[in-house]
Order: sequence, then C-alpha cells, then structure tokens
Amino acid sequence: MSYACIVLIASGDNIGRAFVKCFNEIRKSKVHGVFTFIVTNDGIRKVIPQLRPIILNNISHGVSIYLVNHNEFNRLVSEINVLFKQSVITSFYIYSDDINNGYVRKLIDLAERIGLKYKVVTK
Amino acid sequence: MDIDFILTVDRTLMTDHHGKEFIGFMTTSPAIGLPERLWMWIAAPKPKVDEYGRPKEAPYGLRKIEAALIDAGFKAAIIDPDFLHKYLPRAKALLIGHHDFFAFCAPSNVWWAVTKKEPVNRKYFIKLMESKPIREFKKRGGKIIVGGPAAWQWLHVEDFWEEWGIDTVIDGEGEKVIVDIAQRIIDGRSLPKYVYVAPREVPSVDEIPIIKGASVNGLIEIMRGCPRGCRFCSVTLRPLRYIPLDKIIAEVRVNMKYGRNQVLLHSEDVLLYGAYDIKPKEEPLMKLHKAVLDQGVDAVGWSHVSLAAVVYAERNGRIVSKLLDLIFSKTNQKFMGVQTGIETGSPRLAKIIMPAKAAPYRPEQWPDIVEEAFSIMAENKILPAATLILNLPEEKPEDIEKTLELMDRLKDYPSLIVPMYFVPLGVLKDRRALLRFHIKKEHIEVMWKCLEHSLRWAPKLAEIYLAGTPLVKIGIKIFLKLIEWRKKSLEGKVKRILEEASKGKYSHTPIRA
Repeated sequence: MSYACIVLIASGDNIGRAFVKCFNEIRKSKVHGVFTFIVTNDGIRKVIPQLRPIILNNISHGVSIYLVNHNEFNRLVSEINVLFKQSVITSFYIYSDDINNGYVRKLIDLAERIGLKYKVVTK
Repeated sequence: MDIDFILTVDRTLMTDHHGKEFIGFMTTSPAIGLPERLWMWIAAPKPKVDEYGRPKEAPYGLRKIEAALIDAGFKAAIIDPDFLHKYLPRAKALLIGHHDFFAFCAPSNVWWAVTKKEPVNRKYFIKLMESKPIREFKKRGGKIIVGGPAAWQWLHVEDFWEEWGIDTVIDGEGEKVIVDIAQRIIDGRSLPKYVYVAPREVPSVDEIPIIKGASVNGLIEIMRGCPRGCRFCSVTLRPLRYIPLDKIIAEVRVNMKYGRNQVLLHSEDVLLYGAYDIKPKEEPLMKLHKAVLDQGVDAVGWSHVSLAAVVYAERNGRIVSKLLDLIFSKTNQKFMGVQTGIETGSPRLAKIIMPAKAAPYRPEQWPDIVEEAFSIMAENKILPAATLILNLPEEKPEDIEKTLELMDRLKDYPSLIVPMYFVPLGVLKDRRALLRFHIKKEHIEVMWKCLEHSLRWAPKLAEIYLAGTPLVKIGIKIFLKLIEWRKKSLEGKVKRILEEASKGKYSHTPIRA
C-alpha cells in the first residue's frame, strides 16, 4: 500500500483551509492513505474542529494526524525520513502560509536529499 | 506481574451482565426508578478477577487488541478498572476501548434525551478518566490510547480529548495499527493524535488474531462487515470477511478453557455466514453450528440477524427451524434471544435509507417481511429485541405513520421493540448536526407505543430469559412493576413533552454547535 505525506505549516483558522487544499491533491492521486503532520503550537481543542469536516467526509483514505510543536521540527524531519526508508510514503506535499518560511526550505532539501517526490501546495 | 500495555474500560462494559447479554442495554440509560447502585448491580456487576486483577471474561474487542499485542511480543493484559492503581505506576500505556464513550449512540441518546439525565455508560466512563490512578499516570507521562466502535465520538469532544491528554484515537479496526503504535511507544517516537483505518487497510482474515482469554458471555465473531449497505451503518463500509471455522472453534475452546461454556455467535447477520450473497445457505450454517455444538457447549446464541435473512432461510429449506432444532436437541436451551433491526415501517424510507435491507425481497415488501420474520421467530422460540430508528434523514410524518401501523401488526409477537434516534455513522457520518435533535411529536407516539409493547411482553420474557438468575429477576420485576405503576403519572409527563415537542422545544444537545 502506498501513502502520501502532508506537512502543513499553518496557523489559526488557516489549518483547516490548508488541510482541505492538500487533501484534495491526495484524492486525485492513487495513494491508500495519508500521514499528516501539522506544525503548530495549537492544541487539539483548536485544531480538531477545523479538520473535522474533511475527516468525516472521507471514508476511503486512511488518515494519520500528528501535531508537531515548532520546537519539535527536527523530530518531524527524522520521522519523515523513517517513513520513507520503510517505503511507507511515496509522495510528499508541503504547505505553508508563508512560502519563504525556513521550514519549507528544510523540507524541500530533505525530499531532494532522499529522493522523495514532492509538491509545494500554495495558498 | 510486569505489564507495559494495560487494556481496560469502565464498569459498564467490564462486566458479564450476569451472563445475560441483553441486560447490557440497561447500561445505556440512567438509573430509572431504582437507586443507581442497585441499577448498576443489575446491569453491570463486577466480574470475577484473578489474583492479578485480570477479569475472567472481558469485552471481545479488548481481547482482540490484547491478542494482537501479545502475538507481536508486547507485554499486554486486560485489567479490571478497580485494579488499575496496581499497574499504572509502571505501565507505558493505557488502552481503552468502548462502544459508547459519551452516550452519543443509540439507544443511550434516547434515554438521555427523554430523561434529561446522563446515561450510566457516559457517567462511569468520565468517572474512570477522572480517577486518581489515571490522572497520576498521565501526570508522569503515560500514554493513553482510545479506540473501539465509538472512537468516532472523540472528533466531537475535543475538550475532553485535550483535558484528559488522550495521545491517540484509533478509529477503525485496530489489530494492525495498534502494533505500530505500541512499537512507537517503546521506541519513544511521536504518536499520531488520530488514526482512521480505511476499509482498504483493515486486517485480512489471516491477520485477525485469536483471543487469549475468555470473552464476555462467550461472544465470538464469525464475520466482519455486512453486504446490505444500509446508509446509517458503519459496519457496512468494511469489507466482508468470514472467519474460518478453525479460528471460530479455537476461540470456543479458549472460552471453554476459562469456564465459559456458552457461545454467542457474533455477526451483523449470523444467517449470512458463508453465504457470499444476501441469501442464507444451509451448508455453511449447519457446519458452523454442528462444529460449535460438537465442542460440548451448554448454549449457542446469535447476536444479530436480519429479518429478510430469517424469511429467506425459512422459506428455502426451513433453515431457521433446522438450526434451532439442532441447538435445542444438543443443549438444555429452551429459547434464543437475538437483536434485529426493523428501523422503519415505511417502504418509501426503507428504499432511500436501507435499499438492500429487505433483499432478496423488494423494499416495498418490507412491512410484510418484518411481520413474517417475527412470526417465524415466535414459532422457533427466538425472542427478538428489535430496534426502530427515529429522525432518519428524509423522514416524513407519513413514514412514522407507517411505522406505527407496522407496530400494530407486531403487537402479538413476543419481543421487545426499542426506539433509537438516528446517529450519523456510515456514509452519513458527516451529518454532525444530527447529533443534536428536536424530539418531534410523532416520535413521542412511537416511543409510547414501544413502551406499551415492551411492557406487555417484558414480564413474560424476563420469566424465560432470567430463569437462572433469581435475584436479578426480582430486581427487573420490581423495575417493571414500578414502570407499570408509574405509567399513569408518565402519561401526564408525556402530554407535557408532547406539547413542548409540538412547539419544537424538546431538544437534545449533547455537543456544541
């Protein structure tokens, strides 16, 4: 089974909109499921209400959602590395409110270094 | 005993309901007419435990997850909630599986809406989560994983999710994913907050483990998934899998080893075992029952049957009669209780919401199928507890009229009929707003008719069903007498609810908008 990986670097009310955008990309692809990493300092109380409509609307794709604090970004990079090495993820979508964000550059570097196909999803 | 992964659940599910599965329904309601302690003693007595606090019998879903973890080499065990304080100080993770964490499912939602009191299942779950051992476990960084058939409810209660520090919610069949989660916990890797296991990711028949200890009331799964495709049901989304006979027998033996000599065959539609179709087949059913009875069990029950399958099986080779004759001839059993779904008496609504429920017959024939099935069950000493669903999407007052008409046709068949409010599951799971509802005037009429029907039959059914548990029988009889006695005053209350309902004022709001 093939999975995609989404990294969302968004804040506040934008998390939901960004998730919809990326999930629509996933639906167009042939993957079985998606690992979603949301880089935010917001907790479940703020994030889940935004993700809920799309989670409830989806019955066909497996979904795993991780919340990653900004100070845990390096752990996220190693997690993606492990998932790719284990051949779990085959494609990679990056979304950031601010395309010039340093995180985006780091994620692109990672994808290029390990040979993971990626796409930067814009607003 | 050294355990890394503790599996548990609150008292409303960690119980054997005195060996009477139907009594479990009482845990979906608040205590009515009886003190809560007495209510809980009748509905959910403490189970027998060994010297380590492991229950002799545990919910089947927890048994499957425990087996998956043990097979993968982890130290895991199911522990009674009263013994958690002994293990949580050293455990790595606490795993909790539930049928109805927050009483959003039916029939909890009906009792809650009508009585305006929290059902005991919700109350005891909240009490468990706020207990000292769990709070201290969380404080020292222990992981809490929740799952089971009601995992979807967490998406609607983000406050509890955050407040209790739930690390991961697993929504869907968990046997495969739990092994990955457990390994992540051991390795100190990050955990997903939420995992949804899609139909394509579910375990295959070979990947479903065999339970290691006895299940409550000898429940054993014989199938997963359902081919009928009803739009309100989540089971139907999953691929259909028949559990092979050797695995079923292996689980019967596990139960017998621990002294549980009853078998409750579990499927959404037991009569479809081995059918690869919606038409029951005699051969696999006879083979299954013979193999189970050959183990020397004392009783065999069915969890659920569909009414169309009952009719088809009896019309084509008297399969129902043959199976019951076989069971009664090999055991001392005198009857069989079973759950089934009427859902609506309206062919129009049946066509929209559950077009294959009547299959291989047409939805237009649904009321006739229901009555014929009730008649077949009565002749074969099968006592059904049937459900009706109110507030289905696209329901109209004339559909309720049809349901009332059908109930009149069923009044002489021994049975319990339970009204339930629609819960957004299956392909309709995105209709979150329907978790909040207004009780309509016509719904009260159905509920009242259900109460009359069930009060008419309950004393007789209690007499048969509770024959081996005299104290529980006395408790239930007191409860029924109380309800009968209070029916007069209830009539006044119902009139008031009807008035409020007709003005749209009687509502149930278990979640935020």
